[in-house]
Amino acid sequence: MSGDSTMKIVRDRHLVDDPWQPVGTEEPLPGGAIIVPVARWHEALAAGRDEDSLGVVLPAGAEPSELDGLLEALPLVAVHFESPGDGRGYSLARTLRERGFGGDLRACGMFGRDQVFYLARCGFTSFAPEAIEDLTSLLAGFDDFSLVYQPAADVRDPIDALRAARAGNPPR
Amino acid sequence: MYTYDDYDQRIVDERVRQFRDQTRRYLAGELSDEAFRPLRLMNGLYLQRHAPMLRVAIPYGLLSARQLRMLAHVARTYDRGYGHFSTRQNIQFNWPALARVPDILADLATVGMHAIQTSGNCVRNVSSDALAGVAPDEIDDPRPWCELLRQWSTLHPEFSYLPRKFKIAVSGAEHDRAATAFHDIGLRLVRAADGRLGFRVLVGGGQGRTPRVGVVLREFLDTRDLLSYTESILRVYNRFGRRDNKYKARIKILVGALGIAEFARLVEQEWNAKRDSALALTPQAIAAMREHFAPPAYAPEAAADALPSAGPAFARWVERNTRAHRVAGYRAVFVSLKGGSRAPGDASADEMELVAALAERHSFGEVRVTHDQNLVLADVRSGDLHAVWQALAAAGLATPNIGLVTDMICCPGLDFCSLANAASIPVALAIQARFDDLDYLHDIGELELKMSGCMNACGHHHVGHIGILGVDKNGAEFYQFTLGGVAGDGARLGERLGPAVPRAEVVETLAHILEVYLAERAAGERFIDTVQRIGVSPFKERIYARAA
Repeated sequence: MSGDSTMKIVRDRHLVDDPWQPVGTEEPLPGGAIIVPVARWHEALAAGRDEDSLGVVLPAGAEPSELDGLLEALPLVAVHFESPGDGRGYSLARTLRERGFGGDLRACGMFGRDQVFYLARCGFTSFAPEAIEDLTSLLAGFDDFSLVYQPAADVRDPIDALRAARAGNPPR
Repeated sequence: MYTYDDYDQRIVDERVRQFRDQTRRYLAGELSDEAFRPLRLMNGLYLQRHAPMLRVAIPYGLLSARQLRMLAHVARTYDRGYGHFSTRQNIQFNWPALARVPDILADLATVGMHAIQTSGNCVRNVSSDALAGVAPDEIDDPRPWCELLRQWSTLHPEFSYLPRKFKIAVSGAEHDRAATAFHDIGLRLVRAADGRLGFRVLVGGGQGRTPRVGVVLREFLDTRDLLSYTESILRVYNRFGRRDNKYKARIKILVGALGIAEFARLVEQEWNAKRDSALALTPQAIAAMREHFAPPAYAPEAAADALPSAGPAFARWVERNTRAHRVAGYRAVFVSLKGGSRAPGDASADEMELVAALAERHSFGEVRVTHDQNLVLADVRSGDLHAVWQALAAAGLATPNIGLVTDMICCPGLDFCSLANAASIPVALAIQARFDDLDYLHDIGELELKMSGCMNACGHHHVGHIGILGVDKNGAEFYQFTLGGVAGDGARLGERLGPAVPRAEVVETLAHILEVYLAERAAGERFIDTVQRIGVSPFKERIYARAA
């Protein structure tokens, strides 16, 4: 590791410095942009924190309704994966997007490059995997497939839409 | 049949590239066993008793002759010259080397084949009726719907890490030949009173160690809503299905725990938000998919074909191994992969090539795999039947036993599978050897015998008219019999006959069961009818009386 103490993450398919600092359930709230458990969001706001520098973290199996009323205000929601196989986090992400969450949706915890294609399609925009030293290895995963069959939380046209367009506008 | 366009082809090619890289990273030590496991499983690759097992997808059991030739090539080049057709209409290769699997996949990709989602905790190959499109009792062809589901479920970003595997079956006929009541989702095409086409949706069926008959989730689902509704079911399952215990992780357990009413409420809630999304099928999309399954160019003059009279052996084969066709002058021909010394469902590379050649010559170049592990040439002219029979008979593929005792379903068992507790193939071979008298077999008549080498029930023993389950008792192989199971219409689970018998007594026990049937049957009664009328007690008395 370099001497740089700033954490790196992948955001919008680029390696960037992470301005966000995760804070646990017990520790005192530090300055700067912080990610707190949902239960501490009101506490942090009451302590004078700006909404724009307050993100929340949820476990992959959380109820999306825990964020009812907050989605407009939150700049960042982090979903924590205990294991790469915890598919609940994928449904949680899509549900938050379907309910209109427009901020940064972050995957954190246990996952790797073989999951990021799916995670990104479910609406995740930033990635902070726990057990990966070389984050650049993650970047290749976003291009595992250049086409998709089904609509999801990303803006890609699925293959059936490409086919319909092609049928409506025959080439040549 | 559906043939890949450049989009489908690109996805399969990219999948090969992705898996080649995953395998490389695993072999180089960059991926742990634990990290590689779900990745290889989602590509149908198991690490088995002797070697890896690769399961290749045959979507809803439909193959072109060219694809079947490719399977023969894979069997010959990378395996020991044969493959095993499975109860989910796929094919398994039992002896490939791990390092060569990416090459196998690259070869398969050249004919639009792959191993995507043939295992793992994801949506598996959609299975269907092997007589789709040709059965006289068909309401609507299930294949376009299967293909729409295949594309929707392929590499689905939200549902690649489900609590457990997920199996969907579609039946389009009056008679359910796809065992829809024993799938996570079973779809039956139906017509509403006003003539609209839709699906009756069953959920929560399955076998394994907690067998369940599926329950009706929705009596009628408009066809336009197929994908949005399926996605809603999957989301509820993905969020709420148990993940703490793999034996309680299937959707049947969730449906049982919530009750069907609450489960349905959650699905409808999701669906309300989704039904008018981009998942809604347009009439154009449905029509375009139907075109892929348009009927082939049947010869109008075939209706005048006379069935050749060529002796009793041919007549018996026609009666037993062919089925009525919706077009006059055509029959559907079953290629029996059962009987003699053949492991049920196995076919050699030479046999695959022979069937491919017959398909090209006599059946519009298509072959189907049945869920009871045979092959079908679905569109054979009556006038060609004799030539087809001769070719099949010369290759040992015309045993006239379709639907009879020796046409048994059988899993690979202890000989190959690392999960099995007991052998199944050698027991099947012993049964085939004992009941090789065709007159006796035909006298017994229609009987579905299904055998699994462990309680995971890959051999569907729960739904066999006679089911046999291999169990381990202190290191010895024992076999538990059940009677009265039904996979299709009137779906039900078999009832346990009594204590398991040792391996050496399986064949005799079966013989005793058949004796009781012959003694008790009323005129015209099939085995299953007799069991349903008299119950298991008379069978129990015959089998266990001597022990008492």
